[in-house]
Amino acid sequence: MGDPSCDGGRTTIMDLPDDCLCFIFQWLDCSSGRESFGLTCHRWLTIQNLSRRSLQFECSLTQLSLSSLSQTSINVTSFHVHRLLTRYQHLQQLSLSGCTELPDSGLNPLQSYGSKLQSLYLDCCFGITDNGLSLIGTGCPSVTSISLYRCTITDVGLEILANACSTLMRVNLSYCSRISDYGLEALSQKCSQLKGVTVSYCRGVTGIGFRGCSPTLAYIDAESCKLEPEGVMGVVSGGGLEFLNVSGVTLYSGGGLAAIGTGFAKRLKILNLRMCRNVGDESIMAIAKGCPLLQEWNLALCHQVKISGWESIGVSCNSLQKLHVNRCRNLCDRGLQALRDGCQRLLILYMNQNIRISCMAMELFKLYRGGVDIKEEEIMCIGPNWIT
Amino acid sequence: MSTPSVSVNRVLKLKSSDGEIFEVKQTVAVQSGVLKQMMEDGCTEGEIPLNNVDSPTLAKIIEWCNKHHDNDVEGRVLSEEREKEKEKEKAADMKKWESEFIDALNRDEIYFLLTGSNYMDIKELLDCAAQKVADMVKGKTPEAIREMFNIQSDFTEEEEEAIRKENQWAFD
Repeated sequence: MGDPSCDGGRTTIMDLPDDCLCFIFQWLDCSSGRESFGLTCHRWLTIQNLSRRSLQFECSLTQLSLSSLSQTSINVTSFHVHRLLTRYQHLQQLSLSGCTELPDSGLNPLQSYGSKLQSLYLDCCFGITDNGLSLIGTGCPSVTSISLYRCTITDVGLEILANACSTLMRVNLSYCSRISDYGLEALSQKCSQLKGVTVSYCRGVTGIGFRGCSPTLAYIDAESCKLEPEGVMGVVSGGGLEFLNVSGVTLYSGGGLAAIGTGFAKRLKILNLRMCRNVGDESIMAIAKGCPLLQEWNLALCHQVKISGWESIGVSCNSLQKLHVNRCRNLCDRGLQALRDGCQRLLILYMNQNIRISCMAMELFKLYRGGVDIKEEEIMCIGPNWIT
Repeated sequence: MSTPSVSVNRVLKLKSSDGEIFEVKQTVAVQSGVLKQMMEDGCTEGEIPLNNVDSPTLAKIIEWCNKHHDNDVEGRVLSEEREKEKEKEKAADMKKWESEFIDALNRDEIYFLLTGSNYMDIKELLDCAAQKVADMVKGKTPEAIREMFNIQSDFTEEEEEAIRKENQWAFD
């Protein structure tokens, strides 16, 4: 009794049913341990293979860590993907990010083994086209997150994907230069559980494609898109938006962003308007009034916000905790006083190089609002990261 | 979920594969998913045959369940704060008891316990036993694992080489 290193001779570990071996395998917490387990015999290899839920290649890691950039990783081909997907047939997460030369045919094994896949990352897969998205559509009907950063896909592929995978929740289309509102419209109409969409730097997107999107859509990143006033209406039309990044958008008129404040974005908590150089007071006033839950607002480099804008923020933004006003040329002493007298919940004010603010006004602000932390740093990305 | 058919005093009669009868309180037996389901379905009259569990293993399983049951119902009248403290102590005591319980078993017994708790669907015991075996595997080479558990490799050299190569491509 009590010596687990010796068998009692009545039974062996090979008499255990597969599900017990699976439970044992679950407790192996490092990859070398799991690999050793699998190399023991065929049966244990099968246990290892069927237990694996997530897979990525070395080139996907280099996306994440700079230290591994110097290492030479294998050039992932269809052969590698085929071998591993045949082996690991129960994957829920797969990253092929950084497999820059992988052709569409490399995704063929997903037809057989992709049915349980929930998250798929194809960032910088320059060889993947609409045909690849079509393969994903038929092979991975339960996928909820897909990342296609810098892929050369078009609206046609996005529409096929949206039709096939109506359970999509998170879609990253950042730098997909061929995507336009047409593709976004398909996504918005077909996928009623959408939570987050990133279309940053998609120069063909005006925002109209979001029209009629699901109220579940809480996160939109449209940095540096060519939003039109009508498009802004589209972006907020679902009514569930909590995070919006439209920093650096090119606007046809300074009042274009006023649509954010027209009542559809009542739940908005975080708004990034950094570098919206021509957004004017009219828009700021509408947003300040129309988004009562706003907690963080980035207005860095918004040079056209003037005294009426700052006053409306002071009066109306009662939930605001963080405000970014770095390098705003038209924030003057009176504007700062308006913020000082209002914004009762303010905790952090990010500001530097505000040339029109006097030392006196700064000192008064600190005196009256000792509880507000003034930080000189300028922050480009606010709020949650791309939600994965 | 409340189980109206479960009462404190009623006992179940469990029959092991070698024919021995064990009496277990219903309130203890609910820890087994299978017995809980049977109670909910109202089919626990007479002897319940557990054909995959022999009597030494069933005795161990019942010892485990009794211990964990006791821990659940003791000292419910303490103040909230005191109770939290007590809970912490109890959790530590229980961990200690569990490791002593499992360490006292030889490998055969652990295997039987694994199959038994899997068959009877007792999650915590299954976890405890599985972790114990996993700890034996950890940090060992495939060769050492084979030797320890007396497993014959059925890989050809080429197969093993191919698997090792594939392992190098794959990251979690």
